[in-house]
Amino acid sequence: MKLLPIINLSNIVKIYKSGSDDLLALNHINLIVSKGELTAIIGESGSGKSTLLNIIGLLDKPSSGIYQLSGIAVDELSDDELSVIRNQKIGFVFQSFFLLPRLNALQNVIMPLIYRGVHDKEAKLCGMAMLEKMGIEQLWHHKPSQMSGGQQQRVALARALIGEPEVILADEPTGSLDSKTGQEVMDLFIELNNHDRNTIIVVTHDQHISQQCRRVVRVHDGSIVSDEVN
Amino acid sequence: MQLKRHFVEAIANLLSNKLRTFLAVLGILVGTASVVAMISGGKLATRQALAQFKALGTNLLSVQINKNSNNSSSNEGMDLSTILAVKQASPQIEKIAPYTNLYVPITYEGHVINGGILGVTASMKSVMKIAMESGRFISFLDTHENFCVIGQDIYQAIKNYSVGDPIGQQINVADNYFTIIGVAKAWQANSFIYADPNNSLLVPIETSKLLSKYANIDSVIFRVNSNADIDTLQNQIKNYYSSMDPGADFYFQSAKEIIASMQKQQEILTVFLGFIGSISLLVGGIGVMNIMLVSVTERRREIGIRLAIGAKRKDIRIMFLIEAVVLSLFGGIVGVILGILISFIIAEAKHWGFTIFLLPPLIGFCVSSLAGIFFGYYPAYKASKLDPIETLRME
Repeated sequence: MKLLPIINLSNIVKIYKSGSDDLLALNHINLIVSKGELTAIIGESGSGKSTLLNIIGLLDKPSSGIYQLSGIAVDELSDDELSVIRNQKIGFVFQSFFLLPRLNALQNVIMPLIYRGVHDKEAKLCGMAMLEKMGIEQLWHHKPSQMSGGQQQRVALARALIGEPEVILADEPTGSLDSKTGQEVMDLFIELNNHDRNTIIVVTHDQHISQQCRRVVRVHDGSIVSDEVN
Repeated sequence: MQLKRHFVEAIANLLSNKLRTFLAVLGILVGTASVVAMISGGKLATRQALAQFKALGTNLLSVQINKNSNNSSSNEGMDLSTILAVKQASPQIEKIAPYTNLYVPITYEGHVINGGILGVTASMKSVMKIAMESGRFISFLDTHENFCVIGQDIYQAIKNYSVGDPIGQQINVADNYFTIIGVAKAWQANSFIYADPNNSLLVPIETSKLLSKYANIDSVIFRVNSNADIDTLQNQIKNYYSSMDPGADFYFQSAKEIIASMQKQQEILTVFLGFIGSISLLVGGIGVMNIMLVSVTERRREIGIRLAIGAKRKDIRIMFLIEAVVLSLFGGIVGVILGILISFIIAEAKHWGFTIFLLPPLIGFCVSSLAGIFFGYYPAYKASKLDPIETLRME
């Protein structure tokens, strides 16, 4: 069965201009990610995997090449249009969680809905449901500083999922957690992928994490050197 | 994102750092307070100054007759009938009240009384609106009589030396005994009339001329038709008097002129004080800009997170702009309250009536929120232009 491509990168080149030397961060990357895949992007630091994730997440623009996100060519879009697409199609999970410290868990979770224009009450109902799904609904009024790393990452995951995005981009999601908590978060990803058919891309340098993903893309010196399905 | 939510978040954020918020708005607060206090105080002062004419009316014209020193031929000046005959010059003149003003020793029961003599006619009572506490005013029948009406201050002075009704008692003026025929109520002082009835003995004008050879009629107050053209009337009176007494100079003052010049002065003062207030608001605004720039730098990470999860540039800009406006409005509100309080204290200290005027607080609110928008725009713009990758990069 042919699966719908969510992410379609062709000939993506990213050059960072720094003084006289140009740094080739991504060298003609071609990558297709289909709906429902759980993909790990691995590589050493400086390999270009973070740049690749930024481009997939529409936080950065390629120097050349074509990127289609669920059929939309995104290279011509304005900053504000990109914001709308990020809001609706992409959910981010970061290594250091990136929750807003002044807001409580629930307020953090509903932020994407608020920027979408959803009313407070409705957003809060969705937010509570999402926290419940993550198993931390009793912590809804806690500030990030009052929660453990694992709990914070669950809140971040709830925030990423609440807008029902087409793809979840996780940048070293277990990097700040101990191995046990990290595994719990990873189990959540696997569960989401198996159960809800969420498309998930995990950037990691942790072999133990990448082994649990069905597909592993290895990046080295700005190029994809291997692309294997376990 | 709804505006209301921006406001709620801005307030929550500002409250999370109370000391800094307070210090940031101090400039705006002081600026607004001074603008409000100055304008309110100025308005109260004007009202106070104008109040004296409320009692007296504005249809007044006064002329000061000064002897021309080069021409000593007519040292006597005009007599009363000549002065009064000016009524023929214009039908616009309703009442004429000439008076003499002289200072001679006054004693009562052997005690020296500080005060002056005003030689007046019966019309003085209605022209200057002098009210009687007891007895009666000088009448046209009192010509050359040694009668006097005592002002309120004089009454208070002689009360120290006698008990009982002052009417009918004798008071010594330059070795002549005068019978008190009336006591005037306190008269509200007026910058327009130099005579002070409160601290005077009012005697018939003819009598006053007998008291001293210097007792010339040197001031005349006219109550004129309120529709009269003051300039024309002035010229008519001047022409008439000049023909009668060529050796004198005439200086006119009208209540309307004084009010106009007072209002003009007040306007200049208000503009000047407003200008000073604006400078303090400018300084306050720069304080707001400074704190907002610090806030943007501190919250780079937050800006990046918000951009990543779908905030538009516009959302970030509005977020910081509203925070700046809330900050300045907070300063504005506290400043307005403080300003009103200051003008209240001024009014109390000077025994003026106090009223809260609508305009100064309104100006205070508008100017402080405008300062917020103006000085908050650059930091907000800067925040909205941040690169999400830069702000999210791990340090």
